[in-house]
Amino acid sequence: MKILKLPKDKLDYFASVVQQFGEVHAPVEQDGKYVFKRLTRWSEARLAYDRTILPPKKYFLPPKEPLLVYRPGEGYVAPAGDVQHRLVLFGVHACDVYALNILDLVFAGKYPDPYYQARRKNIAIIGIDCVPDGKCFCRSMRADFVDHGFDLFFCDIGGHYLTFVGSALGDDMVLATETLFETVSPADIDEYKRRSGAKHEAFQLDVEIRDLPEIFEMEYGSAIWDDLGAQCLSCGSCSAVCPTCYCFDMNDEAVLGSRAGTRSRNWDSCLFSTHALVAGGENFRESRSSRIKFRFYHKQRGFVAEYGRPSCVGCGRCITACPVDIDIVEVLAALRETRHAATH
Amino acid sequence: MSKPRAGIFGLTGCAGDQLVILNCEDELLDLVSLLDMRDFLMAASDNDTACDLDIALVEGAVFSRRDKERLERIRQRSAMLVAIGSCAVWGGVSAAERNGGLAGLLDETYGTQGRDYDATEAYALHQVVKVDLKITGCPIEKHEFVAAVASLLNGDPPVYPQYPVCTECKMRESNCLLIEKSIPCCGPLTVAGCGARCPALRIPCIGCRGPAADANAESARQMLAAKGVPEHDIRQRLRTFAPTGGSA
Amino acid sequence: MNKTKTILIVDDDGDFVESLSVYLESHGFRVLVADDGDEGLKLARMEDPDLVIMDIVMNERTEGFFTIREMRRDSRLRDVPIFVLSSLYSDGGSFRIQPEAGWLAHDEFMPKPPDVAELIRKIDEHLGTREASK
Repeated sequence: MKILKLPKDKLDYFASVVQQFGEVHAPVEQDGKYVFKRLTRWSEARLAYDRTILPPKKYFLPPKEPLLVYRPGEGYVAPAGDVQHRLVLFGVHACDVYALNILDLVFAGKYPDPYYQARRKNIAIIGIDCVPDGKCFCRSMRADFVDHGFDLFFCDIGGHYLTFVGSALGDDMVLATETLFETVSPADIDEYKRRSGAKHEAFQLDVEIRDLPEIFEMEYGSAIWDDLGAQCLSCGSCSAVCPTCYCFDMNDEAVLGSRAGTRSRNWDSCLFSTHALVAGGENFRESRSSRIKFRFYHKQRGFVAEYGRPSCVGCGRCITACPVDIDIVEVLAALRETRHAATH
Repeated sequence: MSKPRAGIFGLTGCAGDQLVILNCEDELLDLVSLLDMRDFLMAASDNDTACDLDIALVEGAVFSRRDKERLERIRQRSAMLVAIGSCAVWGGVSAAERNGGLAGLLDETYGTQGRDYDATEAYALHQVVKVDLKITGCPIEKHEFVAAVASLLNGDPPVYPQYPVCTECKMRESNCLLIEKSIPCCGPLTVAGCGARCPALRIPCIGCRGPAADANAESARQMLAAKGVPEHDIRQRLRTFAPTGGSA
Repeated sequence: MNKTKTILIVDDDGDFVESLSVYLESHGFRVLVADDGDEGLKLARMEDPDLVIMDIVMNERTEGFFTIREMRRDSRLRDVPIFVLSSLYSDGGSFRIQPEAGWLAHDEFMPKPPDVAELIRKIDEHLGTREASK
């Protein structure tokens, strides 16, 4: 991988020039929180953010996405949408890049989704490193470092950003602004390693995940799920803010006076009472406790069975977004303790 | 095929849902050409109050004997009855929790003469007659009304979200008033469809659309109490649009 | 009859803007002035100018980059000719703006201060006016 460095005081030049590759979106401040938004000037960007309300998934799997416009007798056409819109997401954290790589497994793997793939192709990712806070556990989830899925990745080494070039597009971006970049020295490598080590020590949350599948298997009937079911509001916030939650519902909307209409997909959540409701009225997960159990199982166990690793990246958004303070790290710790209690 | 004969009525309520229908300015001409509007007092003075109807839309709660009789007559003459608005679907403001019950309410408002007024407990429509479809809202959303007509004309029921307002808040990436400002917001308990426009303007949700499916009021209460919101304030926030006894 | 063409200048350099305005007005153009990107956008949307002269370094070092992109997003301003008048080098001469590399969504690039005869010629070219021959 090509590695260069960019002086920090040249970042605004770089970001401004990169506009030619697409509309630049970066985290901006919104009433004390952060959201990815189109920049109208560079100074709006807040690269030292903790986490955005919604993850970058909002660009690739929009909350409401028209998929096709149908006309009986004539078939269907793709809607005049914005999948071809070129964007540059500037300042994506490693956990979120990792999450996109996980979504690739689902939407660009065995069953390729052309809408998702088009957006993935047309949206550039420029990553940036970060400092973990009290809700981050990406390191435990092995999502604190990414080696693919981005075009460029910036790592802070003091007066410069070490720049990892992850794709041909990233290379084009560097070539377009060649005069800004400098070659990396051995001292820079030392500084990167020093900071990387310090970052590892800075994590406050630590979760053992290797034996989670077994624990989940054994704790299927645990009372913990009933307690959580009583607490959970089924509000859907955790699923909405999760960078790897991808469940969707389909909806047809007819044009008034016609049998033609638009078919859309919208965000869904396994926490909704209607999620496992099927035609005929059977509901496979009617109780709230069964639904919240399902969400945790899917994230940390079911996804493992299908794709080889948990889909949770430890970004901490669900912990931040839950109105009743359901905390996945606490739940996993409780499950682990329950196991120990049973053997005594 | 002939156009469906339609009627739009209001019982005890603010008439806001009927007004929303009239406010569908872009679709009004289409609506009028697709439906044979026979009885709509708010829009016309020349109404057929006796003919059979294919579809009747009724807003407002049943809050008097007269309301009950009117509703029963509408049910009798209509093949399909649609309850529109929170009052019709849930009881709405008329069914809000009050100290002293109905007698206390009449006394407080009208004094002793109130005892002779035609007033009953407030009921949602389904508690009095069979209701075929419900479109909630305070008032109903234009797009949900238009979607209902579009679907029904094709012989399909409209599909509405059952999930809470929180999800719509997150879809538009609003800041969370509950978590960030500890303001009592009924979002987690209220059914979505409004696009969470109030929280987007920093106004907490008051639950005007009625409960989401499987709303967890007990947990929400505990959560608000844990945030230090006084019991009185929690009760105030939840009482206005609380549904009438029993499920919809 | 050709109506008077309006030129919007977006630049925070007061002295330069004043002398350029006078020069353009003397050639029969109506001149509007904004001293930063936001102001420029607002005026552009309100007045629908026939041509925009844009600076790059204003409140921020790369403000012009973003203002031009904002204008191009607006369907009414997408096709308005934008002339970038800027010194090629910023940051004490170490960073060179490369208009020829497609960095800016502009129509013409000229150094600052510009060769005014050339400027008028180019304006004529884009607006179909004949001020250069006067």
